[in-house]
Amino acid sequence: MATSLDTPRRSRRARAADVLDERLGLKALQYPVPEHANNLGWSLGGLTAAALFILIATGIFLTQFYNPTPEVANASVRHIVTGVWAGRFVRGVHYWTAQAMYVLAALHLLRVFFTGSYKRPREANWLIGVSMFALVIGALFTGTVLKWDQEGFEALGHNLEIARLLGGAGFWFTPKFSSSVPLLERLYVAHVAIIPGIILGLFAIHAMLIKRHGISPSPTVPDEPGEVREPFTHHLRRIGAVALALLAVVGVLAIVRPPGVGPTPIEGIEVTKPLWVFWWVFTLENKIGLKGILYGVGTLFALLFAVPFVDRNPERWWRKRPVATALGVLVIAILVTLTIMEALTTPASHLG
Amino acid sequence: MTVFRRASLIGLIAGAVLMFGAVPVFAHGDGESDVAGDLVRQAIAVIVNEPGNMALAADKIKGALAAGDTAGVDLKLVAQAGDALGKGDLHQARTLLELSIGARPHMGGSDPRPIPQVPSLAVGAETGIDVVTDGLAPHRNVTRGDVAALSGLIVLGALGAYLAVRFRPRKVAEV
Repeated sequence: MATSLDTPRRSRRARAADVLDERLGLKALQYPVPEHANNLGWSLGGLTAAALFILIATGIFLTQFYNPTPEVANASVRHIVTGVWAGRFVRGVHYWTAQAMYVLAALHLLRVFFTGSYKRPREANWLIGVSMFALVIGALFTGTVLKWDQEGFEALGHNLEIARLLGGAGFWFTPKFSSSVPLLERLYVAHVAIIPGIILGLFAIHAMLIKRHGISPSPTVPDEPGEVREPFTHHLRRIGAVALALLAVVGVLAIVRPPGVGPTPIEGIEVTKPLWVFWWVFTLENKIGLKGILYGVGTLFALLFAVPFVDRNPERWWRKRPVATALGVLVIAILVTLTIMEALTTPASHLG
Repeated sequence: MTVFRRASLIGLIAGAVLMFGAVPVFAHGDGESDVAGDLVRQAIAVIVNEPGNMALAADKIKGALAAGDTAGVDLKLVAQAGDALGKGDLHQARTLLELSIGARPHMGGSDPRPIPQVPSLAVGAETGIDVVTDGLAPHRNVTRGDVAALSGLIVLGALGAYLAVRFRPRKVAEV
């Protein structure tokens, strides 16, 4: 017999894992991370990534039936809802997961801000994270336009006006840039390829830098060097478990609160409200005109990008950073107030 | 005053200033179309999207009647639509407006244009839409398939929640 009695017989599963590890290096994912990485606050980034993967999977399904030609785009969305097996459910999951991803990304950003996780040496990763957050908003915006109903078309109208205000910098959004191709088709390409492609690229760098710098320390753990360590795969395992619950929640919402499809669009009127995510910007538009969108979004992201360079306080816990904390709360209060104000108003006309 | 209270106070003051201090500026578009067909389509869209906004629909009808370019529009029907709107009969107003531009009246939300029928190809920011189709309201009837899917999702959610609790960190706070 070839088998030695001294060598313990390994299970088939363990041997299969060895075969895969030899070729793919999977055991490299078992590097140690502090135990606090597994709490919910530190898992928000991973959950945002899980939402992205749900969106990619459902998005691949939807692209098989969606037609980005303006004349039939709205009709093809109706066809997905009424004529494609499971189309209504998949579209609903896509719709709700997109909003869940926005909320998770925003909460992740707030967690990083209030625990000072962006401080040296993680400034670059903060900038990458903020860029990804901007891209998530871009994906929500383009997704809104794709259904090509009155709301989507009005969103595009605002976009064209902003492009006009930006002058040459907004050239990509002007119909003149590629006059033979409808803007809807170019936004479709942005939604299914350009934006997710850049997000995935940035996500790879984001994850690589987390590995390089390690999981950021928790200000609430007093003995950080002595903290229990667990393999990174346990972090992934917890994210996977919560992601299952997330998938269940968006699935239930897709069934009990499925999104409708608005009337086909007509140019020259402004009668709809955008998705709640954009309400704060639209209040600014109501107050100071179309430039309000530009100023509002520009100011918010300028502030976010400036955070690691302005906040030089070495403390990480929010209680010990009164100025940064007060400014953060102020920005949140402004955004919430502007959002509530839009909820209480009727749509007004702004497009020239 | 604690840091948290100070931050909350700043937030509240900022909210109050925003809520009550600013004056609305509604920059209404100054370039209303002079093409009757466009204005009729806009009037239909207003009726479909915002049935309560009779003034805006009436404004569009008035604009259509006074437009310089009336090609392809039966103004007599548009005028009748204006009368119907004045009497609050939105249904009749919409029908007349649709007939005035030669469109098939009453395209329901589940009766969109068949996909292969493409009359012209839109370019740039054109909508490619001739006349408004009603919105398709979210499906509210729970089917047998929905019940099966809901059951599966509830099991999935319970499994996720169970595993999330089982894999939670033992020694540090959850958040």
